[in-house]
Amino acid sequence: MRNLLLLVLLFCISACETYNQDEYQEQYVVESYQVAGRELAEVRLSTTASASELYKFEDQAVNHASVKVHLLSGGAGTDVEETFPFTLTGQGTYTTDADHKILGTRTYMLEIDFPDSDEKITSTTLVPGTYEITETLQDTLIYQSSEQLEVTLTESQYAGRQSYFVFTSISLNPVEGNLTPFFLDLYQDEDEDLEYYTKNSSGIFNKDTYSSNPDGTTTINYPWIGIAFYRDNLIVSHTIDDNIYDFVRTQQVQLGGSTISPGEIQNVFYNMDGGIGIFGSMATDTVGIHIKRGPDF
Amino acid sequence: MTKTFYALALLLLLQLNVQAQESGSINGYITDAESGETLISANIAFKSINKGTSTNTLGYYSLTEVEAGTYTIMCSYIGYKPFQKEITLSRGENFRLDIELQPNSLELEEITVVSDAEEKEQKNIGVARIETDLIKSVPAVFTADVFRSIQLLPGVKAASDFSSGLYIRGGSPDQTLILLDRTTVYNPSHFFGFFSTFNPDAIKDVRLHKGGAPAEYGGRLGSVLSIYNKDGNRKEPSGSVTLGMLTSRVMVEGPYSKGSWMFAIRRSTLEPLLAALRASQDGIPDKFYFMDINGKLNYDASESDKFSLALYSGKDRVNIPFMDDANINLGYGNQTLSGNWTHIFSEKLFSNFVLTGSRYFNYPEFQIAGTTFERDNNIYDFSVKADLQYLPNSRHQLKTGLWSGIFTLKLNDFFDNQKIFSSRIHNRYTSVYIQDEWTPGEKWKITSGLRLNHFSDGDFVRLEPRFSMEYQPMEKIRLQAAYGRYNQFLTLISNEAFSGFDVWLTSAEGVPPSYGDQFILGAKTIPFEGYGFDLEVYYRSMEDLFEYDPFLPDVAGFPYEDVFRFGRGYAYGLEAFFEKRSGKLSGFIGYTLGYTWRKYPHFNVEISNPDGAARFYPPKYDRKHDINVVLNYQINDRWKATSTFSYATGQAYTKVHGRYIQTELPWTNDERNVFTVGKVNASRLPAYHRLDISFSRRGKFFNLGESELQLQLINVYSHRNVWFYNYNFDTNPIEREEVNLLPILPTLSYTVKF
Repeated sequence: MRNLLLLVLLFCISACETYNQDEYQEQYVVESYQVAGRELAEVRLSTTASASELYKFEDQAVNHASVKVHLLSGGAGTDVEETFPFTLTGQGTYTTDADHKILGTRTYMLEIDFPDSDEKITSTTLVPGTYEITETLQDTLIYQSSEQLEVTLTESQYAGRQSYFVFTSISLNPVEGNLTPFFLDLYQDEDEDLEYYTKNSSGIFNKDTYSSNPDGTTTINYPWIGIAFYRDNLIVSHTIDDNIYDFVRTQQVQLGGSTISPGEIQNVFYNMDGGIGIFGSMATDTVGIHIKRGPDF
Repeated sequence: MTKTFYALALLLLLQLNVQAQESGSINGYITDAESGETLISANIAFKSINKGTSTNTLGYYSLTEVEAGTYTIMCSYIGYKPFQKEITLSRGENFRLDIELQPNSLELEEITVVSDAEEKEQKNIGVARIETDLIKSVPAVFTADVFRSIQLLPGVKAASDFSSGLYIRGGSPDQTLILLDRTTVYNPSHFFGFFSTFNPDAIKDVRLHKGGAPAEYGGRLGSVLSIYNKDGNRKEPSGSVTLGMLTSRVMVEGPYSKGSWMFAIRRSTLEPLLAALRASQDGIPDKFYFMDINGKLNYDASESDKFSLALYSGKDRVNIPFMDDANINLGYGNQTLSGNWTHIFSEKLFSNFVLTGSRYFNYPEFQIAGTTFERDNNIYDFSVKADLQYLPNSRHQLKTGLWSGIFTLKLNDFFDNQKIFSSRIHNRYTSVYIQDEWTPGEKWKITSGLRLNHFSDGDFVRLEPRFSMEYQPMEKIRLQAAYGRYNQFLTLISNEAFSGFDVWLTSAEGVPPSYGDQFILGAKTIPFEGYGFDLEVYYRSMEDLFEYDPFLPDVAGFPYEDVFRFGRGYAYGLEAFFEKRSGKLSGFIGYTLGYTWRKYPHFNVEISNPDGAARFYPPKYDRKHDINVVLNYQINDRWKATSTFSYATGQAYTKVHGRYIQTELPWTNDERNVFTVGKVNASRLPAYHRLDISFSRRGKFFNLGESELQLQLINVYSHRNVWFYNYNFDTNPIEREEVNLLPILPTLSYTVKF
C-alpha cells in the first residue's frame, strides 16, 4: 500500500504541467479600409491599451510613423508598381494627396516604418473586383408586405474564392418617428443613440447562399430585418477582402456565441506583420429605396 | 483489413482451451422477488468451491464445468437479502435455477459479502455504477436527475450548474456514447441541457464505462453510458406519483399473463410560475415545457426466449415573444424504439438481438422584424445488433457481436423563407467484435478483444484492439490495467450553455474519423469490510479531432471538409474513490486530479506571431482538482438525510490583456471593441464549492400506499460560484462582471407509491 501511495504522489508531482498566464504586450493597431473606385482612404495608427486603463484613441494615437501604400505589380510579394506616401493630418490619422483611385482585383501593400526604431508594419490586401447593382425591381415598398426589395448584382471577382457580402441600409431620414417597430423598441430599451441605428448591416454571407442567374448575376431578396427606418434609405452592397472577412468573423466571436464556451476568448485573426488591426478593402455599390408604412404599422 | 480481423479473431479462438467435459452446469435469471425485475451484475457463487460469476445486462448467468455433487449456492446483490440454496447436480446435468432476491426493506443492516465476485463486475476497470436509489435521494435542482448524479463520480465533470452534459476524463459530451435500452440517444437533455432526458422512475440500472471499454462497445472516443429501463413489475400492479415544484411524474407497471409492462410519464409544471412572472415582466415565454414518456412491454415466450419492446419519446417546447415584432419558437426532442429478443441456445450459448430506431430533431425558428430564420434538423438512426455470449469452459467467456445501421442526417436552414443551406448525410455503419474473458487462474483475469468498424461515407475501416488484465495479489486488492483504441465518426455542434440547437455531423471523404488510445491502471481495494477504496490513473490521446469551425459566419458553397477545424488533444488524470457501502451512514468521497489539453491550427497562437505554432490549451471545463462527497444517513425508520458537497478548482478562462476600438468600418456606426489576449484559458475562475442537503420522510398516504416527502436545499450557504466573466464596454475602463451560477434554491417533492 505504501508503494502505491508513493506511486500516486509521484504521479501528482509529475502531472503538473505548467501553463502560466502571460502578460500584456502593447501592440500597434492599424485601421484602414480601401474601397475600389474611390480615393485612397486614410490610415489610422494607434496602440492597444491595457484592459484596466481608460481607453481614448487620442491617447493611443501614434503620430511619428512613416506610412506608405504600394500598388503591387501582381499578388503579395511582387514588385512595387507605384508608391503613395501618406502624411499625418490628425491624431494618429494619415492621409495622402495622391490622385489615385483604388483598382479592383489589384493588390496593395501597407508599409509603416518608425524613424526611431527598426519596427515595421506590413500588410497586403487584394481588392475585390468592382461590380454593380444592375437592377432593382422597385423604388418604393410597403414595409413587411409580401413584395420585398430585389437586388441583382453583377459578379465581383476575388481570386480563389466566392464573394463574401455585407449589406447595409443607411437611413436618409433618421428620426425616432421613422424607426420600424422592432428597432423603435430596441432604441427605447437600449442606451444607444439614434445615430447607432442609421446604418443597419447584415452579417457576412456567401455568394453561394443565393443561386446565380444564367447570365452570372445574383439576385438577392433584401430581408425586412435590414430596414430600421421608414422613408428613404440607401442600400449598400459590399464585397469584402480576406482581411476584413477574417477580422469581422473572429471579432464577433470574442464575446461569445458560436460553439466556443463562454469566457474562452481568442485573438482576432490578423493578416498583418508587426502589428494588429485591418488594412482591408472592399467593393461597393448603392441603390435607393423608399419604405412606406404598412397598414399594420 | 477484414482478413486481418478474421485472422486475429481466429487466433483468439485458438487460445481457448476447449475441453470436453462431463461436468454439469447451472444457469438462469436473477430477479427482484417483489417486482420480478432482472438484476444486472448480481453475484452468484458456490460456497464450498471458488467458483462464481455475475449476471449479464439481461440478468442472466451461467456457471459451467461444475463437477457432479451437492453444493450450497449463494447469491447476493447490493440492497438485497443474501440468498442461499442447496442443490445437487448430477453428471452432465444442466440445472436451471432462477433466483428471486428479496430487497432489504431498509438500508440499516449490513450487507453480507458472500463472494469476492460481489464487486468484480461493478469494479471492473473504468466502470462505475450509479444506483437508482442514489439518483432519487441526492439533492438535485427541481427534479432527480441521472446525469447530475453521474457528475458526482470521480472523472466526471459538469460544465456548470446549468449543464447536465457529461465531461468524462477530459472528453467533451459527444465523446460519450449514451445508450438507452441499447439504443443511441443523440441529445439527452431537457431545458437546453439543464436536465437529462432520463426519468429516474423508469430506470432500472445505470452503468458507465469511463474509459477502457471492452470490445463490445464502440463508436465514441471516450466513454459509454448504458441506461436500462425497468421491465415492469411481474408480480403485481404498482406505481408511483411524484409532485414536484417544477416537474411532476407518474409511473405505472404491472404483470400480464405473458410478461410485464411499464409506462412512465414526466412533465415540467412551470406554467403557474410563468403566468405569475408574465404579469410583471416582459420576455417571459408563452410556452415553456418539457415532457417525456418511457414504456416497455415484455413478453416471456418461454424459459429460453424473451422479447421486449421499449420506447422513449421526449420533447421540449419554448415560445418566447420578445420586444415588438420578434419571437423565438423552438421544439426539440428524441424518440427511441427498440425491440429485443433474448434467446438461450444452451447453457453455454446466450444470445441477444436488438432492432433499434432513434430520432433526434430540433426546429428552431426566429422571427424578427418580418424576417424568419428556421432550421429543420433531423437525425434518424436505425440499427440491428446481435450479441452472442459463449462459455466454452469455465476459464473463458467469449463474446462476439455485430452492430450495423443507417445514420441519416437531414439539415435544412431557411433565411427569409429561402433555403440557404441543405445537407443530407446518409451513412451505413457496421461494427463487429470478438472478445474473450480468460481466467487462467484464481488471481488473473485477462480480457482481450478486437473491434472492426466500417463507415460508408469515406469508406473508412478502423480496427480497434482492446485489452485489459486484472491481478489479485491478495484477497482484498485487485490490480488492473487496460488499453484500447477507439474511433469516432461523429462530431457534435453544440454550446455548453445551450443544447437546443445541437447538430451532429459525420466524418466523410477529407474528414477522417477521430481516434485515440486509452491507457488505464487501477487498484481496487477493500481496506475494511463494507468499505472500498479505488484508484485509477489514465492517459488518453485524441487525434484527428474534427469540429465545426466556430469562426465561419456562413458555410454556403464550402466543400464539406472546409467547415471543420481539425485538432488533437490528450488528457490524463488520477481518480480516487472511497466508499462506505452500508450501514446507517453510507456514501462516498471521489477525488479527481485531471488534465486535458486541445490544440487547433491558428488557435491560441501568439498575437505577435500569427503564423507561429498553435499552442495546447485547456478547455473551459478543465478542472485540476475535483472533490465530491456524498453522504446518506438513515436517521430512523422514517427519516433519511442525504448531503453532497463539491469542491473544484476554478474552470479555465481567458484573461483579457488589452483592447482597442475600430471606429471606421464603413457599414456600421457601431464601435468595434476588440480584445487582445495572451494564452487562451490560462487563468482560473475562483474555486467552485457547493453544499446541498436533502431530507426525506417516509410515511403512508391514507393507507393507500407508501409516501415520501422530500425537502431539499441546493447551495445551502448560497455561495455565488462564477460561471464566466462578462466584459462591459459601456464603462471606460471596461469592467469585468461575474456571471454567477445558482444561488440557494429550496425544492419540495411528494411521492406516493401504490
